[in-house]
Amino acid sequence: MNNKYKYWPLLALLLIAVALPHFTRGTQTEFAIEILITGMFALSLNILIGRLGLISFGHGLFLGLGAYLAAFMLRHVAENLFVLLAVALLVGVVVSLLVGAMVLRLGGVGFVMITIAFCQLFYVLVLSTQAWSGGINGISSIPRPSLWAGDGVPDWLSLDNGITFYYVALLLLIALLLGLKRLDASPLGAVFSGIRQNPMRMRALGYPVRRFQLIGFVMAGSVAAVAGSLHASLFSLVDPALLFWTTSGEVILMVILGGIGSLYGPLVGAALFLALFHYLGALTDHWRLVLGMIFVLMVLYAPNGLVPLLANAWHRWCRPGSQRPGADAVPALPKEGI
Amino acid sequence: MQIIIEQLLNALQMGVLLFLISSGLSLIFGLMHVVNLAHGALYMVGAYFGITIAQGLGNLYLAVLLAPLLTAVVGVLVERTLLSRTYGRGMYPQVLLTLGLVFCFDELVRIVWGAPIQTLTLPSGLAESVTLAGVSLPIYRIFVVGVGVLVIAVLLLAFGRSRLGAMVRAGVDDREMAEALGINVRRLFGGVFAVGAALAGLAGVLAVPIFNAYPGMGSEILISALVVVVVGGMGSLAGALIASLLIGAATVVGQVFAAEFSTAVIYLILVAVLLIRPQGIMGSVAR
Repeated sequence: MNNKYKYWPLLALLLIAVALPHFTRGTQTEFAIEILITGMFALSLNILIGRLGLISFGHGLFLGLGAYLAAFMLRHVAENLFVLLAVALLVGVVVSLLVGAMVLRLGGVGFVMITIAFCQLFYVLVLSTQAWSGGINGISSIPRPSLWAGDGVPDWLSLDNGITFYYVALLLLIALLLGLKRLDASPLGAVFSGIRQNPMRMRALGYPVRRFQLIGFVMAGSVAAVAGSLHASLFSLVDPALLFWTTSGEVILMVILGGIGSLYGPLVGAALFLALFHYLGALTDHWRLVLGMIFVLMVLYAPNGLVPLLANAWHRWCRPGSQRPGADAVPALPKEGI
Repeated sequence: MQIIIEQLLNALQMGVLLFLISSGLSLIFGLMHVVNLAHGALYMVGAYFGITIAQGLGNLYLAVLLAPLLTAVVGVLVERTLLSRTYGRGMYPQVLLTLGLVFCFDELVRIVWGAPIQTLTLPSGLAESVTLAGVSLPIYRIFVVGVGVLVIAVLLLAFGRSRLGAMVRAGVDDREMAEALGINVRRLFGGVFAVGAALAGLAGVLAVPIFNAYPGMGSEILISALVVVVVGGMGSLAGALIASLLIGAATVVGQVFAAEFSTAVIYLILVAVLLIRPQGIMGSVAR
C-alpha cells in the first residue's frame, strides 16, 4: 500500500458514518447511537487497560455516575446538552480523582478486587437510597437534552431528533479518537506505555508512577461519565444494573474482544458485542453463552484481539510474505501488575 | 435475649458460609496468584447440583454430601482443560478467562435448570425449631453452623498440621523455593482447586434453603467473598476466617440497625481496611 492511500479506508468509513442516519429505519438509529456511546465507554476503559496496563473491574461506576447525574440534571436542572456534558465531565473528574486516589494504592490483583468493590459500593448505595435513585427500578422518563433551550426552536436542535443525537454522539466519538491519537503520540502517552511495560523501571527513572496512573484513571473516568450521561439521555432511563459489576465485566470483554493494542479495537469490540446482543439475542435467549465461549477462546488463542488479528491477515493477503510494520510492537497484557 | 441469640446465630451462619466460599478463593489466589472470578459460579453450580440430588433422591443429607464432590469434578475439569493453559502468561489472562466462564456458567445453569428461582423444602427433622434455655432457634441454621464448624476444623487442622498442608503453605510463601525443594506445586494446585471448588459447592447447597437458588447468585456472593479475601489478607486461611466472621457479624448488625444500608456496611469495612492496612488483617506485605 502506498502511503498516499493510507487514509482512504478511514475516509470511506467516515463517509459511511456520516451518511448512515439517512439510511436507517425505525430503531436502527438508536442502535447506531448506542454503538457510538458504548464505543466511547469502551475506548475510555482502554486508557486504563491498553495504555496503563490496569484492568479496572469497576469502570461501570463512572458510566452509572454519568447516567444518574444526567437523570438528575435533565429532570430537575437544565435540559441544555452543553451544560449536561460539562457537568458530567467535571463530576467525572472529581469522583474519579477521589476513587482513583484510593484504589490505586493497591496494585495487581488488589486493584482488580478493590475496583469491583467500589463499583458494588456505589450500586448498593443507589439501591438503598430509594427516594432519590428509584432503587431497583431506576429512573425513567428522562427528557432528552437540547442544543438550544426555549420555545419555537426548530426540531433538529433537540436530541429528540435521532439524527441530531447521532451526529452529536459521532462528533464526540471522533473528538475522543483524535484525543487518544494525540495522547499516544505525546510524551504523556510514552510515559503511560513505559508504566505498562515496566512500572518498577519507570519508578527507578524518577517518574511518579502512581500520579501518572491517577492521571490516566481520571481521563478514563471522566470520559466514561460523559458516555453515561449520553446513555441515560438515549434511553430516557437509568437502570441500576449499569452499576452491577457484570456491566464492568462486559465492557472489559468488549475491549479485549476488539484488541487493547489498537486505537479502534475497543470501538470494534463494542460494536461486535452489541451486534451479538441485538441479532443473536433475537435468535436465542442464550447469546451470553456464545459470547462467553467466544471470549474464552479469544483469551486462549487470540489474546491480542480481533483488530490486530484482522489487520495482520489483511496485510498478509495484500502483500504475501511481509509482516505489517510494527506488528510486533502490539502491547501484550502485562505479566504482573505492580 | 431472644433476638440477640437469634442474630448471633444468623451472624455465625453467614460467617460460616462466607468462609466456605472465600477459603478456596484465598488459597487458590495464594498458591497460584489466580483470581478465580468463576469461584462464585462454582458456588452456584453446587447449589443446583444439590437441588437436583435432593429432589431426585429425596434426601437433603445426601445432597450436602454429594453436591460438593460433583462441584469439585467440575472445578478440576475447568482447571485442567482451560485454566492450566494460561499458566505462565501472567495474571490478567487468568482473570479474563474466569470472567468469560462466569458468563458461560450463568447461561448454562439457565439452560439446564431454567431461570426461575428455585428452593428446597427442608426435611421435617431440619425444618423445626428447637428451644434452648427459653430461646427458640431454627434447627437448620444450627445444622449449617455445625457442618461449617466441622469442615473449618478439619481444614485448619489439615492446613496447619499435616504434611500436605505444610506443602501448600510452602507454596503460598514462596512458590519457586517450594518447587526447588521438590514439591510439585502444579499438582498441589490441582488439589487445592478441587478442595476449593468442593467447599464452594458445599456453601452453595447449604445456602439454597436460606437464600434460594437462581442464575447469577454466584456473581452476587463472589463480591462478598472477594471482600472477605481482601480484608482477611490474600492467601491466609486464618485471615479469611476472621474476616468471614467479621463480615458476617457486620452484615447482621447492619440488617438490625440500618436495614437499608446493611449491604453497604461490608464495603465500608473494606475501604477502611484498605486505607489503614492495605495487605489485609493477616496478610503479609507483598514481596
